[in-house]
Amino acid sequence: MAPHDDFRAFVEQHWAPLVRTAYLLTGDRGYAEDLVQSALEKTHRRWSRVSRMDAPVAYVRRAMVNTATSWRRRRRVSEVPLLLVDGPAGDPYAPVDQRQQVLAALRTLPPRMRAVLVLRYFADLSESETAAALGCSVGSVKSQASRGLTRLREQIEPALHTALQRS
Amino acid sequence: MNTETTLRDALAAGARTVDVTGDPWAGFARRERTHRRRRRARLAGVAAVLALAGGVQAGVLPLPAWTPGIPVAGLPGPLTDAPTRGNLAGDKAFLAGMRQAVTDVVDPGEVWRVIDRGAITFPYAADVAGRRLVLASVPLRYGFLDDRALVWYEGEPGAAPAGMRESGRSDGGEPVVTYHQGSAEEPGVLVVVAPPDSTVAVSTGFRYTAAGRVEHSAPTSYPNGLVERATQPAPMDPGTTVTVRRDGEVIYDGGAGYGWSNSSGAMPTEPTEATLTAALAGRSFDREILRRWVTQAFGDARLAAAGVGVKVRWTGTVDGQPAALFTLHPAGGAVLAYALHGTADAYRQDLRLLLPGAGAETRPIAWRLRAEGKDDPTSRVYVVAPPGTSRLTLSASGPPVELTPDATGAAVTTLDPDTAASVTAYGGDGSVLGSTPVTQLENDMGGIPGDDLNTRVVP
Repeated sequence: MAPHDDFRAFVEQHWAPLVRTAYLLTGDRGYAEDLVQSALEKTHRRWSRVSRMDAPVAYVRRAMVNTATSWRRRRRVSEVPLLLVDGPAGDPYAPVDQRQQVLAALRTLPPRMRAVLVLRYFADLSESETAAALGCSVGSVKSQASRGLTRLREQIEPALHTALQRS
Repeated sequence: MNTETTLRDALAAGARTVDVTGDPWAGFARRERTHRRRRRARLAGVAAVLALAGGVQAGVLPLPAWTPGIPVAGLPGPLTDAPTRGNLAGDKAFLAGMRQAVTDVVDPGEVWRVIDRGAITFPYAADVAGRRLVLASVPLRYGFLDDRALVWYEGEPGAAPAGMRESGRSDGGEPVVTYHQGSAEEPGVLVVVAPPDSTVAVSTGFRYTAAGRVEHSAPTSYPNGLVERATQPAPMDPGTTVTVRRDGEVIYDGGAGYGWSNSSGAMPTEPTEATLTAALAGRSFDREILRRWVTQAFGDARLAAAGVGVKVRWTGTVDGQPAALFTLHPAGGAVLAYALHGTADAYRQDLRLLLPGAGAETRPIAWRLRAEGKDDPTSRVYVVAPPGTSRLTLSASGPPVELTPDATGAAVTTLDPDTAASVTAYGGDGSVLGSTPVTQLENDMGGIPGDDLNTRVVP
């Protein structure tokens, strides 16, 4: 096996989930790919050390999340995602609208709070894994998740209520 | 549908809109080439030297500080612009000298150049507890890539900048940095540098309770985000934890790291021959491998080997390599279980688990495995039954699965890596001998075992 064949295998395995996570963190597909690319390039340069870690992907994720929050601070606009998939029976647009409401509300949260929710509820990381990715405590993850969900609830429910009244 | 479910649904749907089809590696490599070409094109008009861009990326040719770089992780963090703290904060001559003394950072195969010495900041500089310490936030560049690192320099008290040497570094974005050095014979020092508007709590020392938890010593609180503390000589890592709060939020909660030395060459974590003989209780197993693994376990548990019982619960093979499950019995009544496989020099620690002392002997113990040589979780689970087991089961979401131990006493089964489960051993009369959760794989084994729910069995 060539020296970095294992890194190639690593990229092939983790590229898609990392890009999807990055997209949810940034709300921008181009930035998402740049973010993963940057984190993987850094990982590649240090692969001889990172590959010996128990969880190299956790290293990439941490680099990615840290960079994501920094990039977000410098950005002024974000892409609004369009959800064009799997509309269920009944009103085919209502669930899509609801998801857009949720994602739009998510993007109003502070970067680290948003990252906690994405890592917990999309990447399915445990609280301790999320804490490791963000470089914070498990207690902080719990409180950020709780406050994030509360803020989402506060934003989603009035919007849904309005939509129902219109229909 | 509650908010959590709604959020999961929305995130999953949002993620599915991202097209990630195609060959990831080809895409990664192509983007990397494009990335470099674009940067080269942008810079070509202002620096003819970039015709040798390969040499630039290889760190051979320095780029001027004003050329744009590609930021990677480790961007400026809250310490970068923090005021200098410590009793050398006002020593402008020394800090000016340090600014020139900061050296390039050498990683294996790459050299990160200091790109702008004027942009170096010093979050901390002091003569403290018998040494001179400086923490520098250093902007670095490797080819087109920009990074920032927090670098510790140490020297003798009163040392000139030229006499300071690098003693450790971390990413420049870290909000909290620690320096912790100790010795068996000499006093040590703990320095924690956190944002000035934060509060630091330090707890030194802990014990494993009979109930199967980690009980830390009462913490001492420090205002203004700074701890400078001399520490007593200690035979080994005393288990220091640091918690930093800022704006009511915990921004760091973890160990302080520890560099320890002694002049006698003694290793308090190494078990005696008598301990190993008693641990094996007649089993046949490579003693050198067991010595290394038990030494590793004592170090991981921050325990000195003296006076701590060791018992080998199981020996066998994992992926064709020697494997063992053994327990440590420190004073106080708790039990720590460790599973490892490999050789004396190259091994993987598969499990570390703190158990309540009562009933530990009759608990079945299970651990998940990663792919050999990789970090990928697998569905494989090893389960070791206690003596006297007549029935062994694994319970996850469905009905209990009956397990059949092999001749070594271990059963190998499969379980989804994310699925919570427990294993239960029954005696000949059908009574439960013991039941133990199957903990998740750890991503970071740096902390004290039992300090989180992934490494203990009681809430």
